[in-house]
Amino acid sequence: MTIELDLRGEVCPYTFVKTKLKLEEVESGEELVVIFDHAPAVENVPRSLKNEGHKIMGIEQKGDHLWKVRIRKA
Amino acid sequence: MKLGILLTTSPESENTNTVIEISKSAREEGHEVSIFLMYDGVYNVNKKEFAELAEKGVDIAICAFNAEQRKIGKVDGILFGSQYDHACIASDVDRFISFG
Repeated sequence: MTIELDLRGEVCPYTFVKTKLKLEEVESGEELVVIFDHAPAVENVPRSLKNEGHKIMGIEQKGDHLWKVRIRKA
Repeated sequence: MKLGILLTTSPESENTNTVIEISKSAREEGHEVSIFLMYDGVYNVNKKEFAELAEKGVDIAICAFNAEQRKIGKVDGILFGSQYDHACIASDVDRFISFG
């Protein structure tokens, strides 16, 4: 099952904090898809999550300032 | 020893020179130094002394969001990171000094 989290309108550090909180609701091995419209978050949130042991399955740009990041929970 | 430094003031502040001199001295003594720049502290990233510190092995990270707000472009050798990186520095070091 894939869970989606829409973080449009959120900026650092809430982009990371809210992603991390949502991951607590996700089972290990499941995917979380997070939508961002804040460019620095698209680089920093995946890097931070990798540092926490999670896997980044893909980063897809969906528009001028819109990205979807697929995360697999460790 | 690992030393962490937070700098939140612009280069006009005396804090900038203090951070540069502490970092230089600490590196010369063989200590590890990590600096995080945020708020107006991000303006320091373009000072040549900070590039020199990076060359001497000082890890410098900057709040990418604050830099974007102040129209500061990326600089080679500097991590344009987030509060996560700030938290990692604070958690990892033996001593942490805040200049604000």
